[in-house]
Amino acid sequence: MESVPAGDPFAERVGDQMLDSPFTTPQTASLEKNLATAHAITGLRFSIYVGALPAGRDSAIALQRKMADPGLSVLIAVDPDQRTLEIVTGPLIVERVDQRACQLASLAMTSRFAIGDIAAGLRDGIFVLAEHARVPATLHTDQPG
Amino acid sequence: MANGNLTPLASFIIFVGIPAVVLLILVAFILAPAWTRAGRYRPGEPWEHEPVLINAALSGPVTDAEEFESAAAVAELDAPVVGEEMIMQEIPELASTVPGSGGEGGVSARW
Repeated sequence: MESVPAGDPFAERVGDQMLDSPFTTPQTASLEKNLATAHAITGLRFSIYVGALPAGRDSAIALQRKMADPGLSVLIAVDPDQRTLEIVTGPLIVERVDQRACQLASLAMTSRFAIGDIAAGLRDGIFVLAEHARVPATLHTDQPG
Repeated sequence: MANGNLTPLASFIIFVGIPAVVLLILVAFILAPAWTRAGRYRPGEPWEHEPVLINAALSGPVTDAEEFESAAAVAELDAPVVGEEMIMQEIPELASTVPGSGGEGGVSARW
């Protein structure tokens, strides 16, 4: 999970955005690490969006559908202005990341958001979702040895 | 001051000026972290940061631009995606779209 390579024209844009990012550089690095860990243990792509959601959940769904692999993606969208949280899971993983797991994650997140800690809330939510979506290691298969 | 008495100016500097400077230094030490820290979110206050999207490799072409007007705007960013590389990119304001049910799961919550 390396950062954008030097010399890449996109690197400058990223640098500019960091100035107005809602997160500090360590917070961003920590979130990226958490997302990478979640991807490593589940095989799913977890993404975070923090910003306006004009149409609420519909905006979050529209954004999730634009992911490279929407069927296997989980989007956590937060609108701090409206104080809304939207968790959108791809159609192929609605059972793996079920309603109960999403509710638990949303509870963990909103309790952090309510005290003003967006980054910590996102971190907790990622952990809860990833833990529920984790594929347990198989010790025995149905293939005779 | 030759005979050990302080002049009015010296008295002012010692008894007012120096304490004031010390006080200002203390105040600066206390408030400096808040000045340098990225704006902390406080529920109820307006959110004045740019939207951010972390770790989202967006797909290229938009199949149904009318339905996903907001998504089309996102796709026009032409952000480079290399494998599983993490990217952070600016998202333009999402238009108000009402996509139909596509089988997505998840929940909505407020705080």
